[in-house]
Amino acid sequence: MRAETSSRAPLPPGVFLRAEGLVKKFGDFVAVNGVTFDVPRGKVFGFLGPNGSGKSTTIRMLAGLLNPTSGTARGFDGLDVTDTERWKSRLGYMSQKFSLYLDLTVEENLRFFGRVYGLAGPRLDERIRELSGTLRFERLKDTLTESLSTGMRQRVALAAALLHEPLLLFLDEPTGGVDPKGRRLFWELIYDLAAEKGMTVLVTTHYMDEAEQCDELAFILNGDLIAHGEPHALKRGISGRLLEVDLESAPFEALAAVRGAAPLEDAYLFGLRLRVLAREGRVDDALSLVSRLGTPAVAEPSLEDVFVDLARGYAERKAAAQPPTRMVTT
Amino acid sequence: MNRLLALMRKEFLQLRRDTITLRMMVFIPVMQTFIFGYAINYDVKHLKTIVLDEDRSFDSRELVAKMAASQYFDVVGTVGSFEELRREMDEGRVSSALVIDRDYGESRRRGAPARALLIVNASDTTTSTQAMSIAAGISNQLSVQTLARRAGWKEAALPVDLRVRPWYNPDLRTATFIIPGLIAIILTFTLIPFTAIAIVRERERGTLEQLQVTPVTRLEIILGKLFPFILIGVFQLTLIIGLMVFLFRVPIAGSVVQLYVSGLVFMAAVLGLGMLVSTVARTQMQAMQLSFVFLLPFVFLSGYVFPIDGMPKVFQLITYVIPARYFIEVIRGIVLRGASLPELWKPMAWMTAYTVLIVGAAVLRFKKTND
Repeated sequence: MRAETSSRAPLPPGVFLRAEGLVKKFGDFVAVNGVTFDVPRGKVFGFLGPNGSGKSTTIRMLAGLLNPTSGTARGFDGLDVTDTERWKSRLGYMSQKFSLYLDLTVEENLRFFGRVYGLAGPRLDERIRELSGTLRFERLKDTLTESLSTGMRQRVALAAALLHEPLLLFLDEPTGGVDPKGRRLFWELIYDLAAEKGMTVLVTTHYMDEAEQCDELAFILNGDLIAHGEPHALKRGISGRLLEVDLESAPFEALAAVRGAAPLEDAYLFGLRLRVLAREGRVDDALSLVSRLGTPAVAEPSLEDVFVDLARGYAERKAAAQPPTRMVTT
Repeated sequence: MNRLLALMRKEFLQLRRDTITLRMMVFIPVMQTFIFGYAINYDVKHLKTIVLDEDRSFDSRELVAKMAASQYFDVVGTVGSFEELRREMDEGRVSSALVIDRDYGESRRRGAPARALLIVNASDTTTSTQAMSIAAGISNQLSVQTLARRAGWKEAALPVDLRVRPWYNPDLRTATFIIPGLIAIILTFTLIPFTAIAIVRERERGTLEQLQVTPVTRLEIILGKLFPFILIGVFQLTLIIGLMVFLFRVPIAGSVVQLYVSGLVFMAAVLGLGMLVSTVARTQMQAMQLSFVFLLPFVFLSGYVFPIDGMPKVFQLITYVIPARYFIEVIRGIVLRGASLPELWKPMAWMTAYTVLIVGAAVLRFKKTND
């Protein structure tokens, strides 16, 4: 054991990757503001947040693409992210852009990335055969990548990221622009990989239905980690109670009638259904308010509700913490 | 090492598919060699000339014949009046006009100054300067003859005989001067934009990022990218040298190996500039346009077309920071004078220093922009 690794406690066995106070500043702009979380071994970990929230920056630091301004990441059973070459050789990375060489054929792309990860000879041939089978693109091996559909490119890019059998897979918005069928196939595969091969997956996504399927989730907003946990736990943690009313007609009028009422945290339409989030401790008031419109029922909050609620709480905390006159930094 | 080989192999695969670029790699040097080799010509000959001979004597006809025999002036006609002469000049039908005074012959016989006038279209300075020096030569020759005859000398031996012997380019061919320098220009024209575009394209398409999450190091990325371009540069160098020696008959007086050695150093500088461009440009279009920023100074301030000695002081100073200046000095030294690299140590040292500086800056910036 080397002195530097023994000086820090090893990660618990269930934790595969740990982000420790990651900060990234671009000039004065703080893109990621001291983010700490654990990614459990062999699980699919979802990283959620709106555009520009710092989720891609975080994932890029974890993948060794960006050097953090401060903080670090540990993982792969004893490696540090600063041990760049070994760190990178153990991870797979696929981004929303599906970065393949468009002027190379599918097979040429795979051979190139395989070689870059140190694969060669029969093992490389075998991996390519295997993956093109699982991901169903055997017949397209000699096609120029340029002429593939987005969904097909995505599969090839995933294959390229999986060639060297990485222990950790980073997926940065992997399903953007892919049709629903392609998305489902993709996710089935990701779950198989996590379950069968024990691969840990860290994925960022916009799609709440995709987030719903993750084993664990982290929400990031303005560079701050605002919540972290299993989807069910996050839903249980929502402040207040979500109520639902089936409307007969005139949904916008119904919405206008209740929006802004004191007992309600939030109100929105979901087709011909009105959903309201009752404030903690004022559920009865909220019930009587909405029962004028129809018969209310308690609804299971979606992750979207959770996220909206978390974002609101975050904004309130920020406003409270802010001094009345804003400091001007020069 | 395997990773580096994989990167190079990928680069060649891409290049093989990019047939337009491949064709340009051959077409640009050949086209430029032909244009510069044939079209640029400083030896102005056969200037269209008209004559206004007011004397019409034996002597005046002798003067016209002498001018025509120089091959610099083609007498295309005669005019009867100065107005007619002016019209011919104004309308651009002729570039020079010879006016011979009414008493030209008479004066010569008497030994008084015989007067004639050569008018040249000096809008093109190269043409007119040359015409003037040829005219002065003819004038001197005729004067010496007259003086010798008067002094009673049988042979006209000049009291002062200052001759010019054009070494290294005895026939005073422009091609001999232009083509060796063209090597520097062509390498600049192709390698800066191609390198810059190749790197910017990877960044634009996101493949550079994909490479950076692999264990490949930045040095490997850079080397893998540049190596194919060095091969292209060597290929172009060989192509131009071939055309120079076999088509334009400019023999290499010095060592071919040393020519390649200096060529490789220059290529490194140019590739470095291409990389620098790639760190500034965001799109391939910008890379192309930015590359052109280097091209004009490389052509005009490197001593390639215009002699550095003739430039204003400020521009002479600028030439010191243009690597092509040193390379052209080295190539001309090797090709024309048969000089060896140790003899050319000074420009070689400067060029090497700039190469190290440029490549260093490029690598640093490349690292920074991708952080």
